[in-house]
Amino acid sequence: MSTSEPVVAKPKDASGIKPAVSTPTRRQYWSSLRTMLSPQRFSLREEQFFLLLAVLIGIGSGLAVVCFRMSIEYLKLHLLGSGLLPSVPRVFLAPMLTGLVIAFLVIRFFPRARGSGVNQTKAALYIYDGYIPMPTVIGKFITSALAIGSGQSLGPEDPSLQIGAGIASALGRRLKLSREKLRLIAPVGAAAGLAAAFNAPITAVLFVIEEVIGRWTAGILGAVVLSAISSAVIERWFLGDEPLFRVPAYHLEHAGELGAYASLGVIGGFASLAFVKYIAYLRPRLRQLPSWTQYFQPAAAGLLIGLIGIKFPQVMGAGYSYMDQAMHEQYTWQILAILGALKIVTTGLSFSSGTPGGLFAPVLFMGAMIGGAVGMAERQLVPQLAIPVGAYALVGMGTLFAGILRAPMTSVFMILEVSGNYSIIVPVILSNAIAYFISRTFQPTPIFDLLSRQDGMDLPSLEEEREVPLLRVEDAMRPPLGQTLTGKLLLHEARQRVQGSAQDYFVVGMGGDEWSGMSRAVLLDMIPNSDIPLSQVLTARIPYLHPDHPLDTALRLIGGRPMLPVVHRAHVQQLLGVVSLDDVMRAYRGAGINESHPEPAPVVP
Amino acid sequence: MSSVTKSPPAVIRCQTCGKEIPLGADSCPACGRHHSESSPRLTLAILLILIFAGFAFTQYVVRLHRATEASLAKRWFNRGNQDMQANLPSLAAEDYRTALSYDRENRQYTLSLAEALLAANRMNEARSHLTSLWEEEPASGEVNLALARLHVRRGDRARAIGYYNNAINGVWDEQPRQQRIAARFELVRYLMQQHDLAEAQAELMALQADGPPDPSDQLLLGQMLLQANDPKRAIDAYDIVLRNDPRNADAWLGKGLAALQIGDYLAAERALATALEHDPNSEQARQQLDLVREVLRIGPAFRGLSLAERTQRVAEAFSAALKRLTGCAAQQGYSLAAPDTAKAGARASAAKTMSLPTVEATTPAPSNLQQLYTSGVQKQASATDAALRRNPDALEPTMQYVFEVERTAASICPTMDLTDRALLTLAQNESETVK
Repeated sequence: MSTSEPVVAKPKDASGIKPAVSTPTRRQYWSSLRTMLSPQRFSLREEQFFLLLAVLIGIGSGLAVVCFRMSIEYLKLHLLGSGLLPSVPRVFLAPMLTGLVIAFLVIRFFPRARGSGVNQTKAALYIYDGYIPMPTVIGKFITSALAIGSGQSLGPEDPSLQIGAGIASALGRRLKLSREKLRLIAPVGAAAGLAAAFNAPITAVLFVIEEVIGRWTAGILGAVVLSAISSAVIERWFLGDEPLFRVPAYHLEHAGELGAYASLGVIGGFASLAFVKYIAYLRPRLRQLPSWTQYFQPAAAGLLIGLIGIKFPQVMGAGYSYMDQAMHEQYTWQILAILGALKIVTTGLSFSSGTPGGLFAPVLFMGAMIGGAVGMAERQLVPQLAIPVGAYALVGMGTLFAGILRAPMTSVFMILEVSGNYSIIVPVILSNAIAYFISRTFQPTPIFDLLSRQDGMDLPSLEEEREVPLLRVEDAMRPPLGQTLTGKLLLHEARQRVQGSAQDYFVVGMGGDEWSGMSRAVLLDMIPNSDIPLSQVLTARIPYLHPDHPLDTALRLIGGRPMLPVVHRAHVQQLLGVVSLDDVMRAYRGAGINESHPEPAPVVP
Repeated sequence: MSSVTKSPPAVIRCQTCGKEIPLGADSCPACGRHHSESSPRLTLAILLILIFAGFAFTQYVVRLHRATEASLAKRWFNRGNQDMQANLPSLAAEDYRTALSYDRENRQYTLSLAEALLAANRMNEARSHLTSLWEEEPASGEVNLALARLHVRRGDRARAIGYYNNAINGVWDEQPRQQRIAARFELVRYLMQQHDLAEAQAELMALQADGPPDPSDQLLLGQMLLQANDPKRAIDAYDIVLRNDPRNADAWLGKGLAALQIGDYLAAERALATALEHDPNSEQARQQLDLVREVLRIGPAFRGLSLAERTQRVAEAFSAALKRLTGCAAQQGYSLAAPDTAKAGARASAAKTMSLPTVEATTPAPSNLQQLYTSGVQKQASATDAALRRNPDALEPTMQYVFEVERTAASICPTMDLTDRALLTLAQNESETVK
């Protein structure tokens, strides 16, 4: 920030003697005011401006998402009626007819509105320099509201994420941010959109970090958090701070309960797998059909969903109220299992047909139903485990979230945030971990990567990055062979020591946490029989490494030096080894041969 | 306003098609749209204005939506109430659930939903909703009462009583005193159903100490005290009602019954006569008054009676008891064997004298009836008016025998005439006194 202060000219009288009290003129006032309000005085560095902008993006996205949710409610009320169980004609007609309108709008006006908002935001980050066109945002708003409001089996979170990202992108472009910041602005908006949709800022931040950005970057974290919080504040301002679900009370009373949750993890893992495989199979096949069929695909999906909805209207729309009912044990385990299975079918139909809308709410719905079914069945089989079904439904949500969307941290924090119950953390972690493991074992490519590859894009993923083994200094270092020197040695002693050694370069411990180095030739060129200690001769210091440092750090620090010392973290003067550029390169080459970068999954045509 | 310090320029993309616009170009090479340059400060100013406008617009939209939701919630809630009144709890539950979907924080809707689910026998759902409500507000009287009812239906006595106590001591939004009194009455009813009279009496004592302000509650309290075998306190409760409303026939009836239970037959007669005076159509008052008068007529232990009157009453009671015994046996088809053959003639003559019914019975009588009969036949000679006058010490054992007969016969033959009812009443009061 500039430190320029307003300068007020001090008037002098004709005699040059300063008056006792100086009275500024009107002109001087204006001048000082102009200086006070000058842009230079208020100028911000780009980082600060970026944080301010994140707050504004959060507010804007929050407002947009609140309006989006209102639109969905309004459309639902008018298309499906006010009852929880809509009438048969509405159930049958609303999704089908609205599907025709949606298809027309998407194909003619908003072609980029179809597909996953998460992937489009990622594409904006990695491919389009943060660019998300405003018409896409408007199209996503309208078509998603129509789809969800008419009962298509999709959720509002994914579109909200894209709406937030689109608003951020438009602002960033208008404000002419740097290329780097413009790239990062879309995820900032995405976090805001998701936070407002879920009323869960921590979940939004984690999801954006895990899924959209794909790496933990301190530079972006502050902006993402700020935008998510300001967006959540706006959402709560208008819609209240009630949690997404009214979760029944739960306490882990016996360790034996964990066995029950583990079984839920197994079932949830295979259910996740079934859903992802189903999408992976159905979506490309529907896209292969002649292009004119795309006008009718959402309507056909709507028709099928309507037919199912006549008997099971719960599977229509986002279904949050039905998740609430599942938590409060309204259904038998058989009905819950049927609803979970039907939701997999209907969501696959809606999503694969190109109808705009998100996967988050349907995934939570599946999880709630499957979790509830497992809970009720277990209660019948093992009545001693008096675990409330609501707890199972809640854990089921996290389980399917971890299994399908493959965002394990987000899934845990989401459950904590939407339930406000920290007693459930152990069951959630256990069940999520099992489902995540099963899903990863049998479906190596996460669903968002699968979708982006189906769309012809290869976007980076945090999960795949996690798979790449991180090389460390300890993988490249070698033991310190031969003589090591210390700064206390006198020059002639040092000469004696190196004379018999085959080494060309020696690292020298200077005492404290300082290290230096010198070549054999330089040492031998010095005056013999000198009583000067080495520490007086060696003024330059070299950096040192620890064994756990990433190998990249060694590469950056080594510069033109022949080698660097690798020292103990607790005893910096204890030399554990040395590492040279050759060692580093050898380690990289070895890793390349032995542990190759995981190949991307084949693109399904 | 803010400005941004210079940094590497962003790639300029077309607002319409997204294609890159070369530096210095005014329009998009792909779609030809004019590319406008606007200052960041102006954009920020516009953004702030847009945020304010958006805020106002969203506020308007949300308010409109809230109003619609509130109206829909109310409509569905009323529909639910109508369904509950029509005894359609399953339908009502759906209505309440819909109402709740529009007003999720409304505790009244949740509570009504839970009550409808309870009425529809959907215990688990009801429990889940009630537990959630209880977690939010553990001191709520309404929620605790609903939970108590739930556990009553589930047969979990300990939890039911616990929640009833929570409800009695809990927080009530409207008319807290009346609600607590009603909850305690409900608890007393439950305890009585569970045949836990001691606990019920304790709760009734607490209720009486609290002093229900409503006369109808006092009346109910009196009735319950009577049912809980606490007639003295019942009389106190009825007296409070009568102090405010001396013409309350129900209170007079209750007081009469309580006095009858205590054994204060004169007070009972007065009270029952007054009850009948104020409500001549009260069949119960009439029957009870007849009973009391019969008790007063036949009871030998009242003060002021001469020995002659006593012996006469005892002899009459003995005769009635023996008749009751043989009548009951005949009614049940039991044959009562004579004590021994030598006395068969005496038995036959006794039967003739007392006009005992002769029954062609084949089933042997239960041992207690047979023993009583044997004992009665043996006592017969010493239980006449003259014999009793000669031996007043036999009055007490004779009456004990009469009471024993009446108690035993009542357990076998519930129907009885007025004299037997009077004797049974005396027998019951006698045993209460002994206790």
